[in-house]
Order: sequence, then structure tokens, then C-alpha cells
Amino acid sequence: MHELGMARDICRAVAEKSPGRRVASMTVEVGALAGIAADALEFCISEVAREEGLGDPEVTVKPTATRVKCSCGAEYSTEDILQPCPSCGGYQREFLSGMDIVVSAVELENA
Amino acid sequence: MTADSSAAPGKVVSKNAQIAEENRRFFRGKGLFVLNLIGSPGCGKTSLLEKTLERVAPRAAVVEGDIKTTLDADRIRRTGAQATQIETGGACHLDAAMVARAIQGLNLDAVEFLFIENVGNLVCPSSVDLGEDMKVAIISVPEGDEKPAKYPALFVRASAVVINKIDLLPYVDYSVARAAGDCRKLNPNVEVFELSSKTGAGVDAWVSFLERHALSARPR
Repeated sequence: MHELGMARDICRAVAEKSPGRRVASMTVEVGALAGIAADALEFCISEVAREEGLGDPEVTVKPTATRVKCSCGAEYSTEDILQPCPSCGGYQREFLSGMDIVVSAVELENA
Repeated sequence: MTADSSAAPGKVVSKNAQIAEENRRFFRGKGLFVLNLIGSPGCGKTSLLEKTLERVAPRAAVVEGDIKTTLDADRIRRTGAQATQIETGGACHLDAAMVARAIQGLNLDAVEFLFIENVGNLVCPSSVDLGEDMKVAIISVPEGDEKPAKYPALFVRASAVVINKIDLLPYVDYSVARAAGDCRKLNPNVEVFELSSKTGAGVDAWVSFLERHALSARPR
């Protein structure tokens, strides 16, 4: 539901890193628990990028699996966090990722 | 074209998250214990607050979030607690900037508990930080026991879950064990309260939980 606001935050972060540059492509990783719909975010980033003068980048939004660290020591990725730890069968664990939005790659056009 | 890995900003900190941090610093400075109450329309968020405020009204303030009307803030004021209403006009959740504006209408000097009742919704409020100390998920028996499994993004973030309307258990197929079990799978440290705002069952345990946290929020 908040893809447009998130797209503005993402484009602002990209523009702050490379002021005045046009962007050829960017890749955004979205955690499964971030509450963001990947295709809606892709659309919103393209629109905001054009509006903010970042060019017409090729945008890829990739949903990512959740990284989990179990108290038994196991660390694993999962698509279904209701499933127990594959090593010990328990649930005493913490989620290392899943809530974040990460811009993992940006390709700039030649200045 | 230049593939420039240094051009990728990495984790994005949203504008909302920045404002939420400012709220959090302000709340800490005041020694407030701040709760963000999240649940479906009709799960009994306001009734739970009324029941809670019977015990703590003089030390509490409430921010009410709804799409329309001041009905809930009016209900809360009748308990003797301060209340202010946010009408979002359509937005499905509160954000940190709305809360920052709303609390300007409250006198927080003698307040220990700030309750923020979010717009009735199990989805969008989950991922929008308001600067609270904890999120509390409120689910009720008639909604069905599969809510934690269906809405994991809320239940991984909620430090406490209130299962409300337990007085209706004799009339509804609802497994408290399943609902509470799924909550613990999603957050092994969660505190689960089985409660009825109508009969008062479970309210003692809930209020002592609040008092413990308010005590540790106070500046020493």
C-alpha cells in the first residue's frame, strides 16, 4: 500500500549518492515482511525516477527470502517463516532480514 | 554506461523512519511508555482501551486514528483520559508525521502511558514505525484463529498480542492454542494475553504488564 512513498525514498537515496546523474538501471531487494508489493514498487520507481530527472532506468524489484538465525546455531533462508528450524525443529530464533528495502545495484549513464 | 557498485545506496531509510526516530527521542525524553495498537476493525481496540483506562486514565493519553469521525476520541475522553483524534481522510494507517502533529494537542507532562490506536487494519500499519516502544496486536475470537498465520508481518513485529472477546469462546470454533502457538512461532518472546473487555477477564495481567513497562520507561 505504500509503494509510491517507498519509491520516492528509494529515488531520493539514489540521487543523493550520485547527484545530477541519470540512472540506466537499478535493482531493489524487498524483504518478504516489508509489506511491499514488488510489481507495484517497480512501476512506482519508474514513474518517480522520470519525474525526478533520474532518466528512464530499467528497474528490477526482487522479493528476497527471509534470513533466520536459530538459537541452535543454524542460519538459513526461508520462504515460509511459520515452518520450524530445519536443524532442530524449534522456533527460538530471530529474523535477520525480511523487513528491509535494499537498493543493491545501480548502473549510471555516462556523465 | 558505468556499473558502479558505489552508486547503490544499500538499505533505504524512509522519510517516515526518520520522523519516527525523532518521535522516539521525544517520547524517551518525556519518560513515556508508548504503544501502537494494531488490529482489525471491530476487534475491540477502543473497548480494550476503555477497560485499561478504568485503571490508568489520569496517567494516560490517547491518540485515536480513524479514517473518519471523532467517535473514538469522544469515547476515550469519557474515561477521563486525554485524547486527540487523527482523521486520516482515507489513509489506511497512521504515519509518524501524523502522530508528531497530533501529540501537540496533548499535555504529556504528567502522562506515563501514550496509547496510539491505529486505523483498523492488520496489514499496512505493521510496517510503518510511529516511534512507539512496542506494537500490540489485538485479535478477537470471532475473527478466527488463523489471523497470526495469515498476517505474519504484524506478528513478527508485535511484542504483545491480546486475544480479545474470550467470553465468546463457547459460541465460536476458535483454538486459543493455535492462535497463541502461531504468535510464538513468529516471535518466541511475545507476551500473549487472553482477555475479555466485556467481562474483565485477563485485564489484571494486561495492566500489570503495562505498569511494569511504564516503570522501566521512566527516567531515573
